[in-house]
Amino acid sequence: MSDLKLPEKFDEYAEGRKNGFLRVKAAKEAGKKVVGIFCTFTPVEVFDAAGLISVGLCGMSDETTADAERDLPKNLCPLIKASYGFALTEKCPYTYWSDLIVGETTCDGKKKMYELLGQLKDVYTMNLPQGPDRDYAKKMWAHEIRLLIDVVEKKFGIRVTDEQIREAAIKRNEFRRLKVELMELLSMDPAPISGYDMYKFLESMGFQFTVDDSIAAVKKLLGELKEQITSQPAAAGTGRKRILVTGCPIGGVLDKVVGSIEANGGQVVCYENCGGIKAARCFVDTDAEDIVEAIADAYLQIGCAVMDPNNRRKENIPELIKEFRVEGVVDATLQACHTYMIETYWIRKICEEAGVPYMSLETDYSQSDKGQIDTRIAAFIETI
Amino acid sequence: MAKEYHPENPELAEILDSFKNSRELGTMAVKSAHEAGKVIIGSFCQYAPMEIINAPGFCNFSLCGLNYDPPVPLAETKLPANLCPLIKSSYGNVLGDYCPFAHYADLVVGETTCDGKKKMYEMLAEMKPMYVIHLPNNPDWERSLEAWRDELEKFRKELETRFNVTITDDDLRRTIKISNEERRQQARIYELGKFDPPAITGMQMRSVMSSVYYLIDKEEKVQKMTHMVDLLEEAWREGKGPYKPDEHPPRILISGAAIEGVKEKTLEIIEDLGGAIVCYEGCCGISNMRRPIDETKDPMTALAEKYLDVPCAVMSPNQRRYDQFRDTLDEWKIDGVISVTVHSCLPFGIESHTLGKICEEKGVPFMHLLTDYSPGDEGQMRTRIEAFMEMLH
Repeated sequence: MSDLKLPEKFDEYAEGRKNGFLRVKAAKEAGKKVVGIFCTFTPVEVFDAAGLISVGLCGMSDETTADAERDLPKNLCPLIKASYGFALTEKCPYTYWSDLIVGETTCDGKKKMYELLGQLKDVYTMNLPQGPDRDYAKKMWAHEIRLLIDVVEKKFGIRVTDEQIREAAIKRNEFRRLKVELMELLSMDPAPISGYDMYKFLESMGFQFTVDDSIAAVKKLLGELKEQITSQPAAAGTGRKRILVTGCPIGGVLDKVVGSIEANGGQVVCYENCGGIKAARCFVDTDAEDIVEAIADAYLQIGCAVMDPNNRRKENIPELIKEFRVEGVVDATLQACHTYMIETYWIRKICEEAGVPYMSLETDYSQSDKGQIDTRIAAFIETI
Repeated sequence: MAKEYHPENPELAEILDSFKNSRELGTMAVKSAHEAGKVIIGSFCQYAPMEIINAPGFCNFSLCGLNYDPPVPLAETKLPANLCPLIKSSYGNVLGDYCPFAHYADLVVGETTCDGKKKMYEMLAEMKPMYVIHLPNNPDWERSLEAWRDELEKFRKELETRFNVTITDDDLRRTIKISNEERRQQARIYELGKFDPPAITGMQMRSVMSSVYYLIDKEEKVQKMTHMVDLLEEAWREGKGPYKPDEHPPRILISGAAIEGVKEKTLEIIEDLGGAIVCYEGCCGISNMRRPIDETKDPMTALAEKYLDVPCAVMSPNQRRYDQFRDTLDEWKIDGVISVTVHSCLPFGIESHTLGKICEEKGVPFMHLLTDYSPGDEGQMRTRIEAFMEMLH
């Protein structure tokens, strides 16, 4: 496959990045096709069913922010700028090798960024309903999933049957169940794994090439942790404060926020963010007669702040506080993310009602506020 | 001071003069509507289907906040500081009860347009009876029209139930007919800018547009606008327009949204420095005015089609705007484009980049001014506009 050309500046890349490029290239040389995705709203069952590799393209560092700012406003969510910047500079292997990128009309910034990204890559944007509760929402989203199936079939010259989609949904459900089981281990006191390591692990699932690989990886970690729990039972009451993290996608600010929480005597016991428990608990009814509608239904349960109104999130947080015996809530938002920023108003109220200390942090991918955030988090944990 | 047009025709002078203080007109209009016992609806966007609101005789007033102090600092006690000033101002005006329109509103109607508004409405609902219409993100009829028509039906039912009225299709046909005429006359106001030299100044376009908004009686409104535009055209033909017949000021197109709240530091300076704003594109500009509602179709379908076609930057993709923008550059013979967007408005901010590219292709100078309601950047705005105007002269 001589048409698989590496980026012009490949030789200048660091070892890790080079390996990333070569890993995907090898998969493509073996005949695999790659779909890049951004959101938990993306119905990955479609790609699984089609035998496509789907990988997350959300940018996590500010390495390419300055490049992105040539085309995008400075005052924009760092995740959006990074995602675009990595595409522009050809520094992300997954974006670079994506044969198709699928986005959704979630937030304003992403929605409009996808239009610009469409000039660099083949981008298809799904039309997400504005709220989950309208009587037509499920039908509309199911229609969008069917349109996506058409797009995939045409693009890759394949057929995707409902039966294949149902099988994919069954497998994805198993993956969700295992992920939830893993995350629920953090409800133990003491938790058998740091919140930081937990997130890093969950994040790595976004780069597995098949759902089978993901399932195997979760099973392995679950086995190790269970083994550790029985062989070395820890005494209860470590004194570490049990923190729930909510807000925007946390991957790009994990060190600044979660690293600081856990360095200052906290333990993150639950992630309500999109990479965490929120979406993992949205199971597909795989016995449903219309599997596409069942998938639509499951995805519309995700309590993302783009939804109007977003009652799911407001209902979910008090329940998670109880379930994970949470002692403090850290609501981490990314600069210029209007939906999550405005919702801090409600989450603060909910925590006040639940009698749980709450802190809202607004940050971006730069390192300039690292010290300030660390000081604020240390003070917050001290007050608990 | 920016260029002002003092026509020699006393009748025209009087009409233009009566449109000078829109705020006062509005306050009077809402008070008298309230005293007359009319149902008052507060709304924000041009997506609010005024034909449905007007059908049972309800009055529609805009709640878009245009001022900084006191509403913005007040709003920032509850909303993020890093948010569009129009949204903060609107919310703050309700929170502080500074806005007569919100004060008298029996119902506030919003749409899921941009993220900031959509989420602000959820908080506004704590203070006012609120109804949010769900506008789809994608303007493709095949993907969104059915849901959107359904939303408009739901809104119609909401008005019927809440205020115990019936809205018939015939009522809608009537309001559609008049609003089509209204938009046609509003388009004519912008079309006065097509004349060379222009038959109206850009600042006058703004004050007329924001004042006629408060003429509640639509028949009267249409009549008054028609008459005014006729008189302006006549004055121009007699060589008595705002510019001397041999004057050819650089013809500027203003693009963007929420410009009403920043007009002093942008629009006024542009005309002050010798530019002639000949047309507005974007929110409240020509785009919506030239898209009439199909009077031959079932009225709800026709309304749904019309409003889904409004090329606001919240739509994705928004090809209709780019196409119309190109046409406007040619039709108005534009010499330079100034895109004015406000802080934190992501949809218009991001689309500005594409407008700049279109201008580059067409060889039309382009500048993007990013500003805010808060004071402090007047000097910077002036300097940038000066540099741009110098380049055009």
